[in-house]
Amino acid sequence: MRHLLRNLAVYAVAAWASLTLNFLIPRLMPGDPASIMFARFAGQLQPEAIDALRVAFGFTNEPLHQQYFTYVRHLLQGDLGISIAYFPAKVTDVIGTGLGWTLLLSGAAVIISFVLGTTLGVVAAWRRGGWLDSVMPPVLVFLGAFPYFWLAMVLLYTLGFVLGAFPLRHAYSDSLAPALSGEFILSVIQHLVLPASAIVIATLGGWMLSMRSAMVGVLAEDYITLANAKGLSQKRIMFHYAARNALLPNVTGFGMALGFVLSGSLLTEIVFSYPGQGYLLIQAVRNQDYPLMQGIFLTITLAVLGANLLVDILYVWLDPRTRTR
Amino acid sequence: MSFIWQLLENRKASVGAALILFFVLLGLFGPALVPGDPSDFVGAPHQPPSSEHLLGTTGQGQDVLAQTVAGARTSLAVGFLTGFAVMAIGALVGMVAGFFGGWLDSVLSFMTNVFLIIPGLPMAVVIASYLHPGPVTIGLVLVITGWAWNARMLRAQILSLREKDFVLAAIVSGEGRLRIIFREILPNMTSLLMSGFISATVYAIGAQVGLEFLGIGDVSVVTWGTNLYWAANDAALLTGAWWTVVPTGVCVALIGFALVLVNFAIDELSNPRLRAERTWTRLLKHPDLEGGLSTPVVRTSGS
Amino acid sequence: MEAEPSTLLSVRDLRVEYLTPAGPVCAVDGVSFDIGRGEVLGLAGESGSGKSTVAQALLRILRPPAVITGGQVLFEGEDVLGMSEARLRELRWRKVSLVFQSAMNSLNPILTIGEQIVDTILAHERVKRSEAVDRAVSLLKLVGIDSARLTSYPHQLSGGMRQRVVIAIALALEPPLMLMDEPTTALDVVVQKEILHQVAELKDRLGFSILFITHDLSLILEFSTRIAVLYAGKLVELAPSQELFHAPRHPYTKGLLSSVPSVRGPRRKLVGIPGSPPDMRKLPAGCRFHPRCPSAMERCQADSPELREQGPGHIKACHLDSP
Repeated sequence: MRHLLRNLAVYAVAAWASLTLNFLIPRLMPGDPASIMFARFAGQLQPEAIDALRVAFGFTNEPLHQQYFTYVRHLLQGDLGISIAYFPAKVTDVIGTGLGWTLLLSGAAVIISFVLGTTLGVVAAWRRGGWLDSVMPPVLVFLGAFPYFWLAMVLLYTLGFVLGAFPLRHAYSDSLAPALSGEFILSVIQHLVLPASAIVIATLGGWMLSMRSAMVGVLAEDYITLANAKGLSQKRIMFHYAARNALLPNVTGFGMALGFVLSGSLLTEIVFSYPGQGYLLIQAVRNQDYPLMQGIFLTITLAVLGANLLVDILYVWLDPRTRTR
Repeated sequence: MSFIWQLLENRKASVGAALILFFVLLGLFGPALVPGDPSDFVGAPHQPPSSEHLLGTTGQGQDVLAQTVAGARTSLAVGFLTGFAVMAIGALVGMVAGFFGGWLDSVLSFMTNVFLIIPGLPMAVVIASYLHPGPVTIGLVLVITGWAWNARMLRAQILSLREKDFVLAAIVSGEGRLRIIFREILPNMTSLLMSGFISATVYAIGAQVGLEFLGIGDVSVVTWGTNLYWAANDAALLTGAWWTVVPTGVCVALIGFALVLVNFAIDELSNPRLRAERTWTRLLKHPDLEGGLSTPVVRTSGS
Repeated sequence: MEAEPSTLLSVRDLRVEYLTPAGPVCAVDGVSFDIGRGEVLGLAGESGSGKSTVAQALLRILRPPAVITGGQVLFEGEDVLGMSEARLRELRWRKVSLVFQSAMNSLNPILTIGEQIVDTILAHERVKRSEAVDRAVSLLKLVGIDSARLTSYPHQLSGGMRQRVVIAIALALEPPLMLMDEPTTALDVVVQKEILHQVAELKDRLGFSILFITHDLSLILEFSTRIAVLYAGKLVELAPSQELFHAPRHPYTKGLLSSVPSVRGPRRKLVGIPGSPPDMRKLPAGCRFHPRCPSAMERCQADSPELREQGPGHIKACHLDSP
């Protein structure tokens, strides 16, 4: 329990640090923050409109801490500002269109990769010296050395372009409208296959290797020797005595890795023009849309923190030693 | 020093080292071997590989081979330098936190955890977009987003080393704290520091390519990342021009893989149990070792 | 000597090696002993003498890089070293069970102790789960633990309770032989005595044999029928306990005994054994104990002594008072 609370403090500070970074960074750069932000609009808008924008973004002449409080107040009301690239749409609206897709793609890919990688790691450690233990790890590590989005490109080209087996872009068929129908869901799944596969292939090696090394450590413990001596079945020892214990450090590692995996999957989205946060991010970079960039940063950070919180709760359930404290 | 020799004897390490050497030489001397400005327009766009252009041309008629070779220099330079900086800062923070303990440790660990958990790419994008685009900016944001991992790892290591007898003996005999760090503890951590440097470099190269792919870097500078940026921009894949994308990716993967191989070798050397198990397996010629196999009975002659 | 049919375990010339990158290291070099029904054989020696290796070799649960390279182990007449995996699984726990030194490390941290007793029973007998749970409750009662603890996790119990749990698990299938490897070393003295009394009482009640491994001779002098003394992988003396205590013949045994403080009796100087056990990779020539032996002769440096009978049921390996 105490562990959970301590993590909660880290998450709170991380969230605070992110939003404060968003606040400070335009104001730390040399020059007028408003001009930087609205650089794109120079010459396109009337000065009064620019002034109105200035106020809307909080670049007033008030003292810094006052601006900060206004900023935080807006944030708590769900106001992340106005997008430059999609002007005059609000940032929250723009992000809203893509958040669901990112969560779907990244969530599905990361869970599949973790489950598959962990299982492979258990089997590889159990049969040390077997083909799974000696062949798979170097292959997977090699595949993991490619940037995620490059693997995405290869998959796009081979399976999508050349073989035509899977769609090349977007989250669902252009001819369909979003609905809760079987046809739509099937189309969504079809469009998920390639981008998710890229992410899974890139990350599988990492989970497998870390689970394998955790298993090797656990298999040297006395309670495994005793379990053998007790004459328990191999299946029971492998799962209940070895794997369940080896899983624990990997669950914590899972939380830590989420931010990293999410970064990679954002880039993968770009390759497939998948309408998620990644796609929005590249639009934001191209159009110098600082409010959108910062909005995406904040949203992704909060998503990762939320996921970490869930993982922490899961960990308490998995490890009885954490419950009594 | 003998550690380096042991390392080179290891097969994984020698393969990895050879690959790394290849790329370093490529980066240093490559552009001399492939003359001309890689940004020059030398042919029709999207030409497949031919005898004239070994790796074909890009969407803007540039030579892919020249671009790949030229890109190596900047990408590797930024990668290694950033990797070193990341390792150095991470090591400093981690070791200070682990060694001194107390409130300093609490504060530094907390900061480390905060930086670890904030996703790197979006943060890097936000910071870099306000700065002048280019390799220096990228190096800077990579250091800001990357130092925490090494810090955590090295703190854990120093915590376990601190309790070892030889350190306690040094403290009791009155050696100054900093001296203890440098003379007693540091030499024992060389393998971990090397390993940390390698991991940091792998991260730096990969993350650099990713940021440049997004368009954060200076797109007029030829690097591996910007090559991919332009390839995506020119819709290379959808016109079938795979040669604009494959060489760069393969290069990044090869050097990443080579660095990881060396890391594995270091791990093996510092973890005697891994080595012993390999010897045992080889000695008994047992291809399959299930977790629960009973102790084998091998009767040597005359017993 | 006891008559043949009541010999439960017979070990002859057991040899165990560890395969290291630098070559094989012999941890147990030709050890032989018998254990009869209902008797307690103490196995004493310093750490590194090979006593734990012997116990785990008997069940063939030694982990790599250990290999059994010679000897014979007969349990109730059956050859253990030649058994199939399936037969070994039947032997383990039903016939021979094991209690480790550290109970905390012997128990799976994420399963309740109830589950760890129950899965032992269910692995060997086709009974209903509810019946296995009932038996678990009575096993806990047997070792003096409240049945409410069935749903506790190992970390929630005290050291003494954990050791009792491990003993309960060892008794789950009522095996005729129990191997106990330093079962009380990790506990404080008061708890040690309690556990020993408990084990002695259980042994009298249920009638199983025990191989009791320890480095502390004082613990087993009263408890065991006979005591075997191990040094650097070799058996150096074996005798009935009382005789070993009153008339030890091997210098090492004498050294061990004189390093045991006695509250009663005349005051005497505590004498330890100078030096430390040899590195198993670089054993001394001749008798392995000669560098530390106060009575070492010239012969001891060259000749490794054989085990010789000194009297009824008393054997030793030493050149002193030998032809």
